[in-house]
Amino acid sequence: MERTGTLYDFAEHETETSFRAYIEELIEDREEPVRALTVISERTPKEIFDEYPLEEYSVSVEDQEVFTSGRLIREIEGESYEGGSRQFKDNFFIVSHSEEKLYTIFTVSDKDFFDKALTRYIETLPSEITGSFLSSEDLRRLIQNFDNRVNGNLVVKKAVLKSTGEDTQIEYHEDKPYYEVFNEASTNDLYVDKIELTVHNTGTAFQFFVSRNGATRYIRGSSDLYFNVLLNSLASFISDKGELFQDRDREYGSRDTDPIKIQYEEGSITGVEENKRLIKALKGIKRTSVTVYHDNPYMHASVLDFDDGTSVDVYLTSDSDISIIPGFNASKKSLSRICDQINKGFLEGEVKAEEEQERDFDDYFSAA
Amino acid sequence: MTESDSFVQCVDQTFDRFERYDRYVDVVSAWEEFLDDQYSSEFRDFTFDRFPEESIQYNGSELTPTFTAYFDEDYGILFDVQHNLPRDEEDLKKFLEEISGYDQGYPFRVNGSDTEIPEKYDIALLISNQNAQTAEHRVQNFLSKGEVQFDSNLVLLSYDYVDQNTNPKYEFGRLSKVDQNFRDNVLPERKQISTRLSIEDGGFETIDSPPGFFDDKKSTGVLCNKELSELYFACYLWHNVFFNCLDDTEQVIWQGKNPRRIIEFKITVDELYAMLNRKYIPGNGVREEWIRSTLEYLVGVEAAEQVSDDEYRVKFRNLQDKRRDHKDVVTRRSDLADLAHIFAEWYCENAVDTDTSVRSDIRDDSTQTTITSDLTEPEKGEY
Repeated sequence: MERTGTLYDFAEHETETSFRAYIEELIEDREEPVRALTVISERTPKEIFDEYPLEEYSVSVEDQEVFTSGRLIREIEGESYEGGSRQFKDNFFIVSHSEEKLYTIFTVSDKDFFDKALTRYIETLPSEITGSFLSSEDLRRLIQNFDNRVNGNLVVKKAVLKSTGEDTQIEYHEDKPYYEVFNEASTNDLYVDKIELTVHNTGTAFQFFVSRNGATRYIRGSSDLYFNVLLNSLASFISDKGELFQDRDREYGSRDTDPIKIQYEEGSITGVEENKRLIKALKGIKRTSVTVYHDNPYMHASVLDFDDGTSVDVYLTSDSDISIIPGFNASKKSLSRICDQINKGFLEGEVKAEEEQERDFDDYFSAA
Repeated sequence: MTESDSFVQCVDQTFDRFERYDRYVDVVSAWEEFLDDQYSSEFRDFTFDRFPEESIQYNGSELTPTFTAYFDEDYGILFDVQHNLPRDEEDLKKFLEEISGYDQGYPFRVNGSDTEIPEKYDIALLISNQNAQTAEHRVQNFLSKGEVQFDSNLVLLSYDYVDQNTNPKYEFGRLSKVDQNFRDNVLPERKQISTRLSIEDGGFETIDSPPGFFDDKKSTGVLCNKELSELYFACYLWHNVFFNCLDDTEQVIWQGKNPRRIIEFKITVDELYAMLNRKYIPGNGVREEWIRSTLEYLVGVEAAEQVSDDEYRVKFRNLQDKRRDHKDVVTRRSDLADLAHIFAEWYCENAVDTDTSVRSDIRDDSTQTTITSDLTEPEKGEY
């Protein structure tokens, strides 16, 4: 398939089956995998793309029978580039999922186009369209679900594990059962950042990749396993995360709050140094401002996300949980990236809605 | 004293006030959570007033409680929080005489804007635990000599935060040398605070409040009725209010770009007063003088300019820690390098050296508008 500046002729792909066959052909022709990002979008991505023209990017989008196709060009000017600028351009596709507001945007292109044009473009758009993070536990459950749905031996080809905090540690594992990798991560306080697996089923082995930020690659094998099994399962996980971060902002004139909690095992967080580590993790979020009101013995900081004005208060008040109290602006996108950063930069825990606790009179008293 | 010494001293003093104010906000929030949680369902008109307005005039001084709790027409508690008591005996006597002025029928807030003087109310004096032991002896001396007399009970309490290294909490204990307790027999028997704090009837217990109990009260109440730390309030405004003063077009300018670009907007003290009291910190407790002094503080930081008597131009952006004159001087928040640290250092730098003519080019980094970090080398572990 030639790479031209015009949209491909999609008229012949009126059914999912023919569209997927076409994608399989593209993978073979281009010797590139499907590179995809699964996102939550309050309106169709096309509507958002059309409404928000962004500097450096030009995009054209067209609805087809069973998918949406588009072409994206990013041109970056800079003295360091030969000729004074660098351009990334290629086609992309959008498919919707059965979960409301869930879409996968993908391209069969090289990593540069996917990372520096398509992903960056989606990240730069307003918070109406957002990805979400998958914790190590989410990833493990996603892969386990996939494993339960397919026959054959699921083997890790490659995995990147990182340590929380400053000293990033990277480990690659090859040809291991996936659960061994997740166990190893858990035992050594590492989180799984990305993982590539193969499953030998009938015919060609199915090879895929999934990362913490909800990006996937479909490298070879059955497109049915990718689109029908993996992506649908991923969409369901991201949808659940989206619901967790939905409508948590405070209403003007009210003191009611709707906090999120990151729960750890009792005794996981001890000592004042942990407060400092958490502050450091918060300061690692790009394009945000952090104010620390209290850093000893408990930690209270405020974070403002300049991307969309989301503000939250973060409290570390015990050895087993962190509370995040959203302010008057609190987008799903920003809450997700703040929670992700705490999980990556401080400690992975279970992110959930904080339940209101009833306290008895006796709970407030102790012997002097 | 060198200019650097003055600078360090200024930053230190700024954070002394900031941290003490934060402690006061904690104490108020802890009591608000405890009393509201336990008594709002017991008494129809229970009202915790975080920002009492009414002041009392006594012997030429003006006093306003830190907070009050109205239970019903029969009982209330008025709280005054002090880090420490005056060291000088005469000053302490004067202070206690002033406090006794609360006896003259203090109007408690009840449900919104109504006020009522309860039939009976007590005065709780909350003192930091660091200074509590000497305080209780000295106060008891005055009371036993009959030099100062109260109609209400004067209940001395200490506040302290106990660092258990894992689950810290605020602890409020009764200072028993002053033999007065709450006269709270209108409260349900099982919820009488006096019993739990009593040596005779209870276990001489303390009231405990881990920050996890009161964090939402702190986040939504924000301030308290004590002398303001302008730095504290400036950080709140910067993070929670100013972004919303931008229009939609201005808000998207930073989207995915460098938020260090300055966006200016004008705002009056009256506008901010109305916004804060109606939308952000409901309860009409935010005082105009606090807003004005905080905007003045931001002028000192060079993050705002005064346009007229009532109007300011705020230069809003994501401030970065770019020091100049004192960049090599380590101050006590250098390791955090957060917004409060930037504000404090910039303010103090201007306060100790008024010659700012050489700085403007360094402070204004608004020309950098595009991030190209996504085009640099891939991060570790990328493939």
